[in-house]
Amino acid sequence: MTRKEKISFSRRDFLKGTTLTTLGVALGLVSPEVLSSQETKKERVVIVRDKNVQDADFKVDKNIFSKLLDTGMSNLGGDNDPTKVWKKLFSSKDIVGIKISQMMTPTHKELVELIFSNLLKAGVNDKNIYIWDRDRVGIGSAEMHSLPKSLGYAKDHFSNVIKKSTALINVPGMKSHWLAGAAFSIKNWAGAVDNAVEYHTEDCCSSFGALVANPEIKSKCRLIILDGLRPLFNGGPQVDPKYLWSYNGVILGFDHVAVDTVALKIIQNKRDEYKKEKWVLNPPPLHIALADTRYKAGTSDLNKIELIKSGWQEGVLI
Amino acid sequence: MSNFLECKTSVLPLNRVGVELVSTQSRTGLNSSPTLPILCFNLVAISLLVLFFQGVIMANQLKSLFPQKAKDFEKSDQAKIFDRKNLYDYLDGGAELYLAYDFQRLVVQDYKSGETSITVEVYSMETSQDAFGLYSLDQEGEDVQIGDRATYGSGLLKFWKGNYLVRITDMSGNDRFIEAILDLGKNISQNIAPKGKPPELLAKLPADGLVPHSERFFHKQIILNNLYFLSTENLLNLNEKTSAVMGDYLLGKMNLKLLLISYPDTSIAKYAFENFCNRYLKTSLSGNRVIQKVEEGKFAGAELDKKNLWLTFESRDEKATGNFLRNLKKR
Repeated sequence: MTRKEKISFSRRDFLKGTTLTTLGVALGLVSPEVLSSQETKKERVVIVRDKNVQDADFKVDKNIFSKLLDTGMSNLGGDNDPTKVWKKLFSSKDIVGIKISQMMTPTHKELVELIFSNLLKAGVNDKNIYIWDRDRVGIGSAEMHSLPKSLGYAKDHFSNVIKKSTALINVPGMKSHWLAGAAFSIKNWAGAVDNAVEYHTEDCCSSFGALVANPEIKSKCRLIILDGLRPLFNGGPQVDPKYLWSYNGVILGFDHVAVDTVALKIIQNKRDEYKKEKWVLNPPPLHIALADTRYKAGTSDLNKIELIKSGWQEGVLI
Repeated sequence: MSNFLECKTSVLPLNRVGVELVSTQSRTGLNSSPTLPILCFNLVAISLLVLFFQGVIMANQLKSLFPQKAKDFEKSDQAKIFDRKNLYDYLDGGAELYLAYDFQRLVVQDYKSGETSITVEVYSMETSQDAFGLYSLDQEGEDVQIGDRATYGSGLLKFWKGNYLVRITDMSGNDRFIEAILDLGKNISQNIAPKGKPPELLAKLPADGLVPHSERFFHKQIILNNLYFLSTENLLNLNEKTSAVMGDYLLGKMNLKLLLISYPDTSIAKYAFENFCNRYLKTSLSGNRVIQKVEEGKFAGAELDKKNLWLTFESRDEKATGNFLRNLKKR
């Protein structure tokens, strides 16, 4: 399947639930019972939250955030010692690229710092950690916030940071998006290519899944940490602050599509809660379901996701 | 507007440079009989310089809209300026929204008071109709008397005046700096001289039953799909040459959405009508009006009226939808 292949999908298809059924389920339009209940290996997705991770002025408590991330990594890796999980994923031989988002609802700096310190504990050399968004790159902890360098792009449009890296961590923000419906881990890779405009198409950006299905990303991305401290549930990427809310959590996983499906369910439920009626995302985030059905990049079927929730449960919305 | 005046005077030397380029070549003797390529080169160079300085003038015009301070907030850092080519640097994934209207330039200026900041964005559009169009996409909030139309809510002031859309944001999402935000808005609005003119098509939306602040104006498919997802395909043949208005209606107990599209000519309108009926409603045509039951027990309607195509969605009453469409044609 090529990136530019067109999709024909209407509102009526959407409401019938006969096409992209998993999307209909995630948006609450189709009963989950229509999905297969066959026992298969499930993709693990972890949600961990803490009510006090940020205060009323949205100042992050880094100690609480550190414990929250430790819990998340332990749950994801199935080991009480989070450092062991980091060490299973990354080693001193790795060059690690951390793809953040700097757009409008940016990845929190505190989260970047915590990832850095955990990578160092896992044995990764400070100078072998690249952090970037688009072509703003920082190498090592001294440049992790200033991102002063520019490394450019390869002929296949992917960032040279991806080419240099042996391992990638995807650390996007969590938001609704006026053109793509939603922007989580899959869409974050649009900030790692120099032809992003070709993916921002009027067919609801249906081809973002091609990015995560590309071997450059599929083979290298070892961890996804979705920054859900203060997500956006309407509009986006431009922010109307009334649609931001303190979810105070992160969502972790290995499968982009599974992580995004969980995030989508949370955003959709937040919208319904806000309006006190069904308030479906416009346009529907087709790219998440298509990343599964068209690009085979992961699962968008909630029945095939092993969801582990810990910490603050009030308002978890899934 | 002092910056604007300063900038205007700086254009004069540019014109002289342009003249000088031509006359220098004459003096060298290379052009005792000027060749076409050299003339073309000069013209292109002059045009590029003029365009460049026009851009500088426009950017300075925009910058001159910003007051130095408002309440406890003062300008901080340099204003950032974006045009159609680099808007993606500011709004990656969001630029298409503005480019779907006739966006020209954006100036972003931060104001700070201690550690807190307010961000002001001034979007300059080619026409006041398109500035209104952008404003119309989200009119939630309380009405305030700033510009041609304005709303404020949860730390965000949006207003439209003339060819400009202005957003002033405090990301906290509360009203702690409402006075400074409104003060900034009033100051900026006063610096924008001409009032705007809303799109004429807007007047065709019936006033009876129109939900306040629900009217939208746009041209393209990507905006329609953001307001009301219809299809990944451009079934209604929307593009920069079409104009569309949309509104929400409450008619007795019936809700519906009304969309009116104005096409450049009748044949394009007819094609769009037929395409919509065949491919979306999946029904055969008989005349210029169609009402079709769709999912969730709702009805969609379409009525072709010369260059205009009226469409209704979300209605639960077939008969009332028919009456509504019939009355529209009389407008």
